Amino acid sequence: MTCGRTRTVFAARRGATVVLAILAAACALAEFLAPYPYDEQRNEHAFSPPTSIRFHDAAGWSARPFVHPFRMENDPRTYERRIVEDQSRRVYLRFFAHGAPYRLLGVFPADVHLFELGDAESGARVYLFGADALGRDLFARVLVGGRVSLVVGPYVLLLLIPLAALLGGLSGYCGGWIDFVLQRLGEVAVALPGLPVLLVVGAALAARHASPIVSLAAVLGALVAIGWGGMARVVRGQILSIRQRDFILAARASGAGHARILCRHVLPHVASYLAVSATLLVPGTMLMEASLSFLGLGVREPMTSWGALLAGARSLAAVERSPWLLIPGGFLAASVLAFACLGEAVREVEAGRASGRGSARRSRARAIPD
Amino acid sequence: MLLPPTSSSTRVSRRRRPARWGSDRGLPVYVASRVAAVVPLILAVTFVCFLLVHMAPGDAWTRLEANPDVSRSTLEAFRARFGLDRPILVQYGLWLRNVVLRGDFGLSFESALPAFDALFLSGRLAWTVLVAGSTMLVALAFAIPLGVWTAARPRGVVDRLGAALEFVLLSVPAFLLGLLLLWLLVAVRVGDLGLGVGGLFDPRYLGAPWSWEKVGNLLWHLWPVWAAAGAAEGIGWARQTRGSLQEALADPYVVTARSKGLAERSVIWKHALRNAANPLVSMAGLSLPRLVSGSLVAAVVFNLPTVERAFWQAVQAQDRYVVLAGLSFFTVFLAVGNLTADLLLVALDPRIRRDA
Repeated sequence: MTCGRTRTVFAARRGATVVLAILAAACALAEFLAPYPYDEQRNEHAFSPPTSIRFHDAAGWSARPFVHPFRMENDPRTYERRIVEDQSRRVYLRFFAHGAPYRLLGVFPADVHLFELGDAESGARVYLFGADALGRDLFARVLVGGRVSLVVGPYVLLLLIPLAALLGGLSGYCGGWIDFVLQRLGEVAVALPGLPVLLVVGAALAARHASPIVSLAAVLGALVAIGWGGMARVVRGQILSIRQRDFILAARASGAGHARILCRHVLPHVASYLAVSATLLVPGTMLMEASLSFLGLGVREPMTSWGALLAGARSLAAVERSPWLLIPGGFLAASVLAFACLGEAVREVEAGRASGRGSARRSRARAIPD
Repeated sequence: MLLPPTSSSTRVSRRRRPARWGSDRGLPVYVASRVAAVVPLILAVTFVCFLLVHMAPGDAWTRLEANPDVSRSTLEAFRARFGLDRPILVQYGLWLRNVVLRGDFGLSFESALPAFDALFLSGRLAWTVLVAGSTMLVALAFAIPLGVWTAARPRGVVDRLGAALEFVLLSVPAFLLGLLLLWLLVAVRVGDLGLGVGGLFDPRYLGAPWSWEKVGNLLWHLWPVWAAAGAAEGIGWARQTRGSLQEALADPYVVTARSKGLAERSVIWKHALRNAANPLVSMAGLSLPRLVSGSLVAAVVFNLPTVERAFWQAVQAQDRYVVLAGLSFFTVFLAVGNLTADLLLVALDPRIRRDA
C-alpha cells in the first residue's frame, strides 16, 4: 500500500461523499425538484418515454427550453404503444413555477417546483425519466424512492452494530451459560438462508396489511435478527483475548466495576472492528433491500424504492418496450458503489492504524473534511 | 448473507483454520462431531422457519377453509393429518415426523400436489442443480486462471482492471445485472440465435429431443444466468486467489523452488497454488448464501423453471408447506455446503490434520 494507492482511496472517498451528499439532498428535496407528486397517476400517459426537452424545432431556435405536447396512443394494427408529438406547438418550461402543493422536508407548506410546463390546461406534461405503467412521473418516483434506498443502510447499521456489540460482548465477557446460549443462537441465525427467509417475512407482513413503512422497518428488523450472528462471533473472540490482558486485571485490581471496565477498557479495542464492519455493512444492506423490493416483498405501493422501481422492468416485454424503466438501477449502483468506496477508505485507515505504520495516512485522513 | 459486498471483509487470511477442536481427540472424532452437530442445527433452523411461515394470516390453507366447494370431510382430513387445529409445537412435531419417517413434506394447498412434488418434480430439481452447479463451475474456471495471472503480474493492466471490476460488480445487485443483460440482448439481437432469455430453451426446442443444437441453445440461454448470478462470485474468488497466491509466492519455499531451477509455471501451479488453495475453499463456503440469493433472483429475472422460482411463487401464494419445503432445502444446502468446505479444508491441509 503505497502513498499513491492511499491517495487514490481518499480521492475516491471524496468523490463518493460528494455523490452521496448530492443524492441525499436531491431525495430530501424531491417534491421541489420534481414537477409532479410521485403517486399521481395519469393513465393516458402510461409508459411515456422521457420527454425530449428542445431548444430547436422547424420554427427555429429558442433561448427558452420547450417541449412539444404529446399523447400516447396504441397502434391500431400492432397495438404497440407509441408517442405522438404535436410538432406545431411549443410549450415552454417555466422555472420556479407554482404547481401541486406539498410540504418541503415534511414541514414547510409550499407549491413552488423547480420546473413545470407552461400551460396546465393543455394536459401537456414533462417526464424527465419517462412514466411508469400507471403514468406516474418516474423522475419523482426515483427521488422519493431514493429516500428508502439511502436510509435502509444507516437504519440497519444503527440497529445491528449495537446489538452485535452487546450480544458478542456479553458472550465474551460473561462466559458460562450465557456464552453457550448466545453462541448457539448465533449459529442458528447464521445458518438461516437469508433472502428466502426475508421473503417469507415480507409476505407475512404484506398479508397482515401492515403499512408500507412499518412492514419495511419490520423486514429490516428481521434482517438484523438474522444478521447479528457473524459479527457477534468476531466481537466475542476479540473480547476473549482482551479479557486476558494485564490492563484489565489492573483495572479490576484498582476497583473498577464491570460496566466501567467494559466501556473504558474493552470497547475501545473492539471499536475499530465495529467501525469497519459498519461501513462495509451499508452496501450489503442496500443490495438486500433492493433484491427484496425487486421480488415484490420489501417496500410496497404506493411507497417505493430503487429496487421496487426496477420490479417494473421485470419482464422481457417491459425492457424491450420501455428501457427507461432501468434508470433507477443507475442510481442504485452509483450509491452502493459510493458507500462501498467509503467503507474501503475506513478499512484502509483502520488497517493502517492497526499496523502502527499509519501515522502519515492518518493525518491525511484528518486533513480531508468529511 | 449480510456480508457486505466488498469482499475485503470476507477475504480470508491464508492461515485461517476451521473451528478449533480438542487436540487430544483424533481426526475421525472431529469429523464425526462436525457431522453430528449439523443435525440439531438444521432442526433448530427449520423450527424457526416453521414459526415464520405460520406468522401469516390468510394463507392458502385459510383460503381453502373459506372455499365453499371444499367439503367438510376433506378439511377435517387435513386438520387431522397436519394437526392444523392444535398448538404450533404439535404441528411442528407432526411435520417433522412425516418428513423424517415418510419423506412427506406436507401438501400444496394451491395445487393439491404433495409439497415435495410441487417444489422439486417436473425437472425443477435437476435444472436447479444444473444451473447452480454450472454457475459455480464457470465462476471457478474464470476465477482461478485470472487470479493466477494477476498474482504473477501484480499492478499490471489486468490486475488494475480486476480490482476495479471487483468494486463495480460487487456493487451491482444480481437482478440489475440480469436486467441489463436482458436489455442488451433485446437491443443488440444477435443474428438468428434468438434472444436467449426467458426459460432455458427457445420455444421450438422445448418439446424437441436432445440434439447438439438443443444443447447449444441451452448454453446460449445459460450464459446470461452465469453472468448475472456468478459474476460477483467469480471476481471475488479471483481476487482471493490473487491475494493468497501472492502471499504464498513470498514464502521461502518458493525461493527454494526457483533457485533449484524449476520453471515458473511449475512454481506457481504446483508449489504456491496448492498452499494458497485453503482460503479459497473457506471463501467458497462463505459465499454459498450469495449463490442462493443470486440464483433465486436470476430464476425470477430469466424465468427459469427451477426450484428457486417455484419457491418464490409459493411465497407469493402463501402456500405454507411448499414454502417450508423450500426453506428446508436452502437450509440443508447451506449447512451441507459449509460442512463440506470445512471438511475439505481438513483434507487439503496436512498441518490441520497433524494438529488433530
